[in-house]
Amino acid sequence: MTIEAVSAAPPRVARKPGRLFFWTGIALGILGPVLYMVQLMGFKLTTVPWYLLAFAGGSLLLLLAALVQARSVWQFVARFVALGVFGVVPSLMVFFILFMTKLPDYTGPVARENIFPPFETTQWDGKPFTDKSLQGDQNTVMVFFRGRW
Amino acid sequence: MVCMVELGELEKHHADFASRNVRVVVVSIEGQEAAKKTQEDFPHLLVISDSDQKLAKRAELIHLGGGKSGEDTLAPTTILVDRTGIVKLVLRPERHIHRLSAGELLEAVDTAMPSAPR
Repeated sequence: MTIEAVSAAPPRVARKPGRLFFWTGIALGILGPVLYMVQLMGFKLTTVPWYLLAFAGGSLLLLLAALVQARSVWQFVARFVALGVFGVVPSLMVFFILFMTKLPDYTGPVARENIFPPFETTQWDGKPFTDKSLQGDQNTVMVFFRGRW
Repeated sequence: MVCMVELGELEKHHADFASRNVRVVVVSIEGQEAAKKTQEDFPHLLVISDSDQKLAKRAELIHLGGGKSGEDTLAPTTILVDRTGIVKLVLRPERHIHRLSAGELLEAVDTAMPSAPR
């Protein structure tokens, strides 16, 4: 009687990490802007969100890596689209937010220990507001802001 | 959006400014309707509608093409003026997405105008 050796289960093929890169890249691409919204609307913090660089950069690199490891045309197309939507576009937005929003130094006529230059403008209700309105019983903090948008 | 968060914080801390005998005046170059809406949203601030840009141009605060659609807007700037009309501090952030917090502004008031009562 011969005993045939029972063949062992075929060795598992090592899975490429493409899928992990793909989903982690997408998660980073979404998480960065979400965290910025939480910072602004939740914690009311108006500091520069430098951490967005890490999220956008990480998302871009991971999705590129996932693209390289695509094993079918369908996977390639899906990962290419994900790279655009969650990698490239957020990266461009982050580049804009962090590097294209720089303000020039103030070099105008308003100077410390000098009287505020004469001006005339109006309040929200149409009443006049001038440099003389700054003089009186109270000190004034004037906050010049870009608008309601 | 950052502007509205900034104004919201100033409104929230209006009592801290009042205790220092400081009023907060907020200025934009938007029209009167927008200014009226802002005043309703932030009743403890005094909203200026500088739609003719007279104040903005006089103080040289226009940011050419800085608006979201490329229109001119104001460069975010905070100016402290004492009750005699003398400028005590001019503060401008490096980037227009960065604003002073209310706490930082109160600290600046305490430093620049130490005689203001608390």
